[in-house]
Amino acid sequence: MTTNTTDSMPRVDEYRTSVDQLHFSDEAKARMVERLAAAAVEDQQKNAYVTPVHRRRHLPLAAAVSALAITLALGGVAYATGALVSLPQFIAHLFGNEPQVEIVDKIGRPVGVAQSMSGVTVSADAIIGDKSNVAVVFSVAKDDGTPFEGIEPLDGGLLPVGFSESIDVDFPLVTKIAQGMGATGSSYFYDADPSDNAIQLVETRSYDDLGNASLVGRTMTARFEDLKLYGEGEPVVLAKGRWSLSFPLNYEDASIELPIGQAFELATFHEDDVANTKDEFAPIQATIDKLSVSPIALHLSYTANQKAAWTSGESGQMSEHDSKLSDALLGVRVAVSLTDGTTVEAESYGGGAISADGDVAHCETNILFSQILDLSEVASITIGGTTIEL
Amino acid sequence: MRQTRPQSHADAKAQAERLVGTYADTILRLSYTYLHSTADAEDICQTVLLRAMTSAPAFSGPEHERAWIIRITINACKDLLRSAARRTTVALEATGEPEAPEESDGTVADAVARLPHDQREAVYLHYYEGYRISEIASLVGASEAAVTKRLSRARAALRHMLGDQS
Repeated sequence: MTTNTTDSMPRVDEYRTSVDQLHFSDEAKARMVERLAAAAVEDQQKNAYVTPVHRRRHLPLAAAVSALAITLALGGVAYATGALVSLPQFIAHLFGNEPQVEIVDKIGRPVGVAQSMSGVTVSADAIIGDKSNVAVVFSVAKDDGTPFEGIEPLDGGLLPVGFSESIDVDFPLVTKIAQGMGATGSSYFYDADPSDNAIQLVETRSYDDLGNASLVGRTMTARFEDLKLYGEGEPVVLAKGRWSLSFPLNYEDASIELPIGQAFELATFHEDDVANTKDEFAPIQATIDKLSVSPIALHLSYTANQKAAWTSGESGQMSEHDSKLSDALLGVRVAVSLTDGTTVEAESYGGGAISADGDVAHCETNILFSQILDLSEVASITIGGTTIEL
Repeated sequence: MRQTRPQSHADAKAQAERLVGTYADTILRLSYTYLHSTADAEDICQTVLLRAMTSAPAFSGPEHERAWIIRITINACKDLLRSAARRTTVALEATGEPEAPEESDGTVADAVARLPHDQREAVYLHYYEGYRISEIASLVGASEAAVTKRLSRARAALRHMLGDQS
């Protein structure tokens, strides 16, 4: 970055040189990297299990989708040995004593999508989602039939292992450009059955501004490289190689449309910005333009009564004002009330799309749940203080 | 307008490596500018970069991300300065043992270090980071006139302390 100023500072070059000399050692940076990675994974894990609902009836997303994969294996997908859960057993476990086969029927099953490398087979087993959000479960299985050893689950059940990975969906380029499309997502490993030779990888992706496009029917390509175990010290390579799987996202959109037109109030997202943001923008009232909910996510479009007057200049640097405005406009918090009295909370994490339109802003966001919801057991959804009955 | 949270541990580590490589020294330098000490720099760095990994907004580009990092670092430093429980000691293993420049009378670094906080802040952001006055005003929550005045006073003080060498 260069400085252009007509008022010179005495010995400015000497000042810059002296500041340049202030730096962390390589060892300190390496230490920070390890701590940050561990803390970020821990934070993510906590968020994945943030809501204390009835586990028996509403499994965490990882467990639920993995269980779906195992169940669906009964239909002919050979991917793992070990105990399989029957479909009735699974449904009873996931949804209690009243099977909700409607959801299971909407699961996509990419039969036969697998690649073996270095004695490990990665296969895509189950897909659930809606137009803008998708969760895919992969199994990672040892070909010799023995379990992965030395992997101690973290609190909450996630495994401290990971691939280097890339996930892509073949949306037409024109869609990507026109919609400015991008993905938010997460991935985590889970062991549905510690006694078998497989562990499960759950990938979730949300697309904020697909317009009329849909994930359903597109092709997903997942590329994975080197399965590693993380812990103290250097990561341990459990399986070295590259796995690439392409498969159609052939599942049934499990979402339902909800009534629209309600007013609600946006929440601020960053704790440190609450005071300043409220001074400048709050309370921002908004009206719901489109609302749908699926077992894994809520999709919301709304018009906010706030002019999206961006102030960022030619430098391309987003101004303080714009940053706060973006945070304020996308600050959506949701609470899903279930018929059994429990509540599942979720928030947008600041992701979404904003389009300025005169004195208002049109916004769109996806809010991914940490658990699979049985929509027949959702009593109401509260968005920014406004409750919508189902 | 979107953000991506860390995914697998491998992703988290890759993201941590990028953030540390890109911003750790900037955070250290900014922390030193405020605190006149490197003792808390690694803690501040961890705090800021963890927020970047777990709860940052969507960034419109590298400059937006850099500005956000700087703003959060400034807030963290000010919080530390304001804290009544300002730590006087830090566990050795928790410090980064960064290589701080030697201070000595007569150096420009020493002279800048003697400036008031708000002037040190303006000098660092303008003359080292290269931000324009309007950008600094946004970053620190001050008016452009105030930032201009701080820079002017800082230059005058430095000329005085350094014997008017320019």
